[in-house]
Amino acid sequence: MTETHTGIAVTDRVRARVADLLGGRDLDPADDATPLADLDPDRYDSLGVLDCVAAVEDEFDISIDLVDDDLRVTFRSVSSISELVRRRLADAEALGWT
Amino acid sequence: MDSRIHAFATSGTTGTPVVWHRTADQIGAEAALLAALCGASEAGVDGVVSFAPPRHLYGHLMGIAMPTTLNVPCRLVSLTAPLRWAFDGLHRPLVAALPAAIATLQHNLGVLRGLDELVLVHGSAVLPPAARTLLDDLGGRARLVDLFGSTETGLVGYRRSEDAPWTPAPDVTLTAEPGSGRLIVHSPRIAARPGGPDRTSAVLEDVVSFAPDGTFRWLGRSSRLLKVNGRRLYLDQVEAALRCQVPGAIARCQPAADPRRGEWFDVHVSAAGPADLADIERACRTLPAWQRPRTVRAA
Repeated sequence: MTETHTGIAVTDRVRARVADLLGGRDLDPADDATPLADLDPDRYDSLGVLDCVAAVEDEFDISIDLVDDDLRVTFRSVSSISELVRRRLADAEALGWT
Repeated sequence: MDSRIHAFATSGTTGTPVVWHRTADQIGAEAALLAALCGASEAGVDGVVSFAPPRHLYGHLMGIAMPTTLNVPCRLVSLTAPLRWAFDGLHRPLVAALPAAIATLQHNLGVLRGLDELVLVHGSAVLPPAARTLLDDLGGRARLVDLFGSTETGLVGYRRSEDAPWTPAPDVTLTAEPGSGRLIVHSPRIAARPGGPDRTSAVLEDVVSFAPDGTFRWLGRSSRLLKVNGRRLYLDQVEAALRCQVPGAIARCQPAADPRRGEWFDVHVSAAGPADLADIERACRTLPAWQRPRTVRAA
């Protein structure tokens, strides 16, 4: 597994992109499992979630399926997004797409 | 700014957001109109669950103004919200959806099947096919109210089936611009530009055809504008971005229906060899994710 696929690297990158979407605020790693809608309900509304999907697709060059990837679960927190990204990157690596 | 003025911006994705001012009277009139068209009182709607952010006109009307008019509670929810909480205590809710929210609702059929009735309101461009599946899954428990409008004009028309033509809102007069077929809206609810004069008509980018009974069909947009989950995406600007990266390649963005986004697009590459196709694919990957096409293919 390459450096960029390690858990820490992925989570740091996800946290940075999410922090940017939430107005550039600092996100404490201790809040990684906290629902983003609880951290910033004004910015993490429905369109904010879709912005986050686009940002994650852009950051990791992966595609998110709005149905199969059930956003309620996968885009709930920094931790859950990171878990989805790690799965996608591992799948792509196994299939030789990277 | 006058406290009775509400400011709303279009959701610019490739285009620049445009700010429109609406008066409190216009907002109040539209909220009352929407409540009537949704049959909210007759249906005994006891609350609103809105996925639409209230910073945009549709979200403000559905999530704030209409619940106030109906004197019912409103729960503003994100796509990641636990829906059991959102519907807790409600029996006959009205749901204001975006295309992407249809999938979230589909994942919560168990919660929705516990309701007596649900009014599903959709107000952002093309209704995704997944909405039909959702309505079928809920049987007679759910009914659709599909809204046609814009930030500039507010509500223009409505329909209660995705196959039906659009019926003009009762306070508007609609005509088609000669030649272009663009929709001209005459309405007491037209917004004004900041500092600009009051207006009673507007020309939209939507191209329509009218039936003798006054209903109309939407044929597309003159400017090749898409609304992806309510966001405006100008295909001409996407093509220009691709041309900058791959000079000489002829890439045309073609709108395409999408079951989840409602509207999306494909890129067709003309008179190009495999290398050009690969170049366009690479160029697409450099676009912001929400501007990327569904597929890139040889024309």
